[in-house]
Amino acid sequence: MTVERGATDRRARRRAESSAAVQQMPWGAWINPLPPLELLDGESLDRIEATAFRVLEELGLEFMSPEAVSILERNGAKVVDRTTGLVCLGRDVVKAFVAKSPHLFTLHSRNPDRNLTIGGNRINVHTVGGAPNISDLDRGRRPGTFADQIELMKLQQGLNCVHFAGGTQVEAQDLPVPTRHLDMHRAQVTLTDKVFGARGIGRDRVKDAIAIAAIVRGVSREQLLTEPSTYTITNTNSPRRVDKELIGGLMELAENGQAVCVTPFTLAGAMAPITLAGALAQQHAEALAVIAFAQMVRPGTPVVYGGFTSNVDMRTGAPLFGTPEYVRTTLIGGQLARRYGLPYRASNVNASNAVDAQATYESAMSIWACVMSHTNMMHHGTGWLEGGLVASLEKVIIDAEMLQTMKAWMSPLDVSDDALAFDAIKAIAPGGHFFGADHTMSRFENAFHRPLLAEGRNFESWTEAGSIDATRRANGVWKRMIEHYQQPPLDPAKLEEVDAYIARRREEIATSGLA
Amino acid sequence: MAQDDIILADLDDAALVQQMHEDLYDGLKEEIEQGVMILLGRTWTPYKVLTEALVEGMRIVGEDFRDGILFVPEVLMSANAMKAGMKILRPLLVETGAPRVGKMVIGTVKGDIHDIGKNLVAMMLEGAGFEVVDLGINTDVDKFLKAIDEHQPDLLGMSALLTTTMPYMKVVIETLKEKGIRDKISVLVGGAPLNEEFARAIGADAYCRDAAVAVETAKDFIKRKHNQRSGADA
Repeated sequence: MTVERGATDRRARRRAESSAAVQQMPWGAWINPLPPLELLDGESLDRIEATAFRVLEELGLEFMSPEAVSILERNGAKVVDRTTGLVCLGRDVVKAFVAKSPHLFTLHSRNPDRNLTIGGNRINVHTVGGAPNISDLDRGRRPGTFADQIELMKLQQGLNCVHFAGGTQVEAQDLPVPTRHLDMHRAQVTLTDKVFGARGIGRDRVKDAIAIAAIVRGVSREQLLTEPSTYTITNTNSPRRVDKELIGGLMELAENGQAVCVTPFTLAGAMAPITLAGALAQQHAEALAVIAFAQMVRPGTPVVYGGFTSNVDMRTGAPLFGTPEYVRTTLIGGQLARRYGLPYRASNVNASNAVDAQATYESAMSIWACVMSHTNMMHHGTGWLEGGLVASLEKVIIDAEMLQTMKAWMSPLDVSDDALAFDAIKAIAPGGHFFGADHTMSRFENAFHRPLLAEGRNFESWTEAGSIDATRRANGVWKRMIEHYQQPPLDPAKLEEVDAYIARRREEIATSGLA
Repeated sequence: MAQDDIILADLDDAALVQQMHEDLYDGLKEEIEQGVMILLGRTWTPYKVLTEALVEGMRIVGEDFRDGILFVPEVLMSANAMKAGMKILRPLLVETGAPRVGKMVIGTVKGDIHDIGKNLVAMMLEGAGFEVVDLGINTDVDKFLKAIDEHQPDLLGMSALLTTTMPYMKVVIETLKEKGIRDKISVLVGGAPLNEEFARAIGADAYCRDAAVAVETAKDFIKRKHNQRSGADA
């Protein structure tokens, strides 16, 4: 074999690599090669679904919006109480409208390389979302600020295993509430070029997200109707209630052809029955009803069926995640979504108060559940901690390590003659070693997945280097990533347009508020 | 490749030595052999070629191996290139009475056939210019004694992977004591289940946790030995 001369270059390159940029997998789609795990048999699923339909037919759901109630009524729902918005939905109506949902759709970004296919056997990793607090090892746990939001955006933009730019990863509590979303969207479209989430609270905020998406993509509103470019996660206020603000956001998205992920907030024992079958029946009822409603607003609205059923600690009432209960509901949620060919959302979640072993094993269980349930949108993929109360910078890196590992083993295995290596085996005498074999020499640099965090030093070397565990190493990795963050280019004319739009909206909101 | 066109003979001494450091780093065996011959032709002493061109080059390799910059197969390539240079130099070094870098008898102890780690240590030591007598696997005390008697090494290296075979190292050390030759030789031990404490407990001179450390430790013991000698001479 031949070796190129150029040690100085190689040495400098390797030294630079080890001290500077973080080595990671390339950006790309994540294809799930496994068949989904069918945990429940068909008859058991039928029983869950039959109960869900009984809930919708006999008990109903409160839609806290007269506009929504009239749409539901027009499309075959029975209004039980016009004051509260309680409506009952027959299974035929629900099924007919849910059937209008696309099985697969593309979310468009201002950088077409970042477009995402939602559905089928694709896994798309979403950032942490909605955390009020931020934490890292240096500064501790504190209320989120706009600066923290920016830091998270830069970090997640740099991670190739994260597909979405996210929405509100952490709340910018230092900014005024009515215009907070405008600051967030400006940061999203300037600091990232991945698909970004809207803040789905009320129509006006969603309108702003859609307008900004159209500007940065440079497309008309008509084109946006068939090319969804933003989305939101809509939680029902379980049990059996959908609030006005979320309905407003959902309707605005649906009317404009944008995507909605409908996720009932069904924590067993608290907002849903304590039995998993009952909690799943309620989840299914709420999800199908809201998805049917989205299709009534605009047939063909891209939707995702969200599963979020987990259990609570019955001694404290606090939510638990990554539990056997969570794994089961996630797997069965996938089965329920597949009955309608709906793309499925589940989450990488944990309830730990620190980036510790509990955070890691609960997350690992959650990620496995996502993979085996054929989750298409893995929410809170990177950075979620403390049951969602905290976005952790170290956890972002630890999650990225787990996700990269999961994705890496799913790539196809080479079984060519060359990979089977008979000649290499032949070349080494019994008891010898392959470290110096030609077969090894020509492959060693890229033969194995390279982890972000894991290390293989022996105990003594590790101790001499300060006994730095994975969490503390993660602290170094996120800092390096932010240090080497590269801002994706944005056409200055588009930025100018975004800024003009935002300036105008700030004035309007100052005078007439938000709807 | 512009760099492939380098003609070693056209370089002045400093540039040639620099190029040899790079060629060692790249594991280019033939280029190293060529470089050694050119320097010898320019009336460099074999010892100067060894220390300034080869050992210094391998020091850089060792440093980057220690820091996780180089991969094991790359270091083996470098060590092979170094060995090729040493092969030319060794008889000349003996002829000229140059101080030797060091000599080690090494083996995996009795009952143990795990030798990948030991082989890496042997190759790295050779790469650093040491003369290594490798006794292979399943080495009993008699075989160690015979080799020590025959080769008069500065260092004895023993390795084991099993907790059941590592106590045999103590048997060897005790026998060296009985024979009155323990003080003439530095004993380095290694293997995955070992640690400093075990090495101390069995009366070894040092525990080497990996191949890079083994080379550093071996060099250190040779330096100490030389210092002791010059101290005695003064």
